[in-house]
Amino acid sequence: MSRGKQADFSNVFDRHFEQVYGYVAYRLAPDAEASADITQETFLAACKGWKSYRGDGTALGWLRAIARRKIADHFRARPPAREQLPADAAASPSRSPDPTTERATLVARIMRSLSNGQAELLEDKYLEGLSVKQMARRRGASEQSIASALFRARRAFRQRFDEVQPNKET
Amino acid sequence: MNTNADNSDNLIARELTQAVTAFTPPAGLKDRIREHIQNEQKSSRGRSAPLLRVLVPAAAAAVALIAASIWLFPANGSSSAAYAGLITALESTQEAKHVHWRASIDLEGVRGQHEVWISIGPLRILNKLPSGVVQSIEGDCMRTYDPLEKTIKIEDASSTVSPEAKSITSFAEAVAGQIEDARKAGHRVTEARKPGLIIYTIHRHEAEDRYYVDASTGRFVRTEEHSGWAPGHVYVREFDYPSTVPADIYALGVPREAKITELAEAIPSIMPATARAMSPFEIHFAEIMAAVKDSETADWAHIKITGGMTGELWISVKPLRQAVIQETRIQYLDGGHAALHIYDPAENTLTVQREILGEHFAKLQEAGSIRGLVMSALQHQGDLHQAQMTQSRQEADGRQYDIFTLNEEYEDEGTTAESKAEVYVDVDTNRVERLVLTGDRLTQPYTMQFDYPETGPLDIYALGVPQDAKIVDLTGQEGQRPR
Repeated sequence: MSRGKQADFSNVFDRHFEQVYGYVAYRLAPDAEASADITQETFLAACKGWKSYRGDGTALGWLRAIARRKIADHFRARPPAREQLPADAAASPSRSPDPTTERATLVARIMRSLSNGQAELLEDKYLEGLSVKQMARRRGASEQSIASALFRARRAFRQRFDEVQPNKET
Repeated sequence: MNTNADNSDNLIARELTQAVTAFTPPAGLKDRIREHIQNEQKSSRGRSAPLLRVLVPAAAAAVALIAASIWLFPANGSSSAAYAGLITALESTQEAKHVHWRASIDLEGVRGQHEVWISIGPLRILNKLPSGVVQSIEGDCMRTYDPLEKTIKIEDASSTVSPEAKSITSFAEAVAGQIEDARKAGHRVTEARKPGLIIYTIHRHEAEDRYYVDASTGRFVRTEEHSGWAPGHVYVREFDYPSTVPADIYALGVPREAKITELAEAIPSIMPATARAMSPFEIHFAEIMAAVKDSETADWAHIKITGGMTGELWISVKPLRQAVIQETRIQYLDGGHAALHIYDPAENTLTVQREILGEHFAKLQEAGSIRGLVMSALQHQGDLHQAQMTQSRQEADGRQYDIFTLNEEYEDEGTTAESKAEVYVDVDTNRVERLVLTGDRLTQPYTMQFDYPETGPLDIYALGVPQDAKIVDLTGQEGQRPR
């Protein structure tokens, strides 16, 4: 038993603020104003729900799950315009002085262009590090169906990525 | 092919990892949010909990009936009749005491149905997922059956369902405030009719939600909801209103031999004890308490103790009486006269005392019933560190027994002690039959064998104390025979 987990919410906030903001900002990129608002809503919701957090996952994973719901609420109220991915992002003139954020914005757009649930599957696997078994449990689905959904999600991401970044990756 | 998959794996992992670290928060944002959190923490001290905190994990949510009302956003462009009809249908539906629905999940390759039963007054929620996961919320207890592990996880649900939610008398009551908020938000509502059905459609930007209402009962029979920014995904639920709901998770096919576990480690490690509504021990306690419910009605219990400790005792709670024979010691507690009688065979004397009763007397009174006394035998003085319980069923001598095995680690005078208790419950009588206690603070295990006579010894003489024993009365009421 890890008694060291008895940290209060303020410590969790201090430790994970930048990571949560980074996640929200990428999901909402390039909308910086909404990113700040959703980050605030996420932490306020987390603060209210702190008692219900049981520690059966990482605190960051829990915060990201809350952020996901807030982001979904945000898009419900203000649906994003259909994502128009640039035909070749590499060939497009840069609109941002920072290539890192520009690239992240492109990834966010690809993720938003995926069909329902695919983005979440990819995030669960590549950001949260969940196994297929864990993802299946979380969704109440079979491992086989998750594995196949994950395969399609990965393929869809790769196709879109290659469309906008031709010959950049092998 | 694998190389391509590996390349994609590496690429996606790298791109996502870089994307979430690409943005730095604007100056001042962290301080601003911290200030809001501090204000929230201050104000939450005097605020009641939200009506229903929906945290049912693992796919789409058992309490979605209530949550769905958040999506009822009638107003701009609606005909007032359509709006009123929708609200009436919602209220008619919510007034049902028992609701059952099947919902189809169709989420990019994940297809199946899950079923939900909800009854109110008291609130009980049962959730069956396509993967075979079965979940119930009742009182402060949430049980989740995992078909892969064949385990039942028992958790404290007090932070999932608020006290206000537990006391609601209709679903309409629960959603009234939410509908009022939704009225202000504003989306167009239209109404269409088919034979036997009224169909309300809420037009939300690019998506539509449809609510099918039985024209004769005024209740929802089907809903179709679009999932916001996931175009093409439709969440369909089909409703019915049974006269009752399954009694528990076992009624939904969970095997009785499933191992029971719980989050004993997680709960104390995250929340201070004062913030917990229910400790792991109390959760186990509730399980065993339920199993031995008919011990509550017993007038007397007779217990034979064998093993590392030997003795025989009879206990009655109302009125409080306790007779003990242990080696050469014979004593009788008379709760009605608040007196303890102790027989010394060497001196053939019978001492009557009051002052030494103290805590023991208080504990017996506090237990309140034979069941309470049985359960008190399972309690430790020190804080509980860890607990795990398993349940099994056995047949012996033509009788069936549920056996609860409770393994615990607890604080004992600054060190960690371990104990194991096995509680045998007669399935037919719902009473404790046997209690086997083992622990590293006990020199040897001992067994308490229970039976429940209609009556027991009414004074110490019924335990074989000679009538001519000399009475030493320390109560200040000399001359009276012990009663």
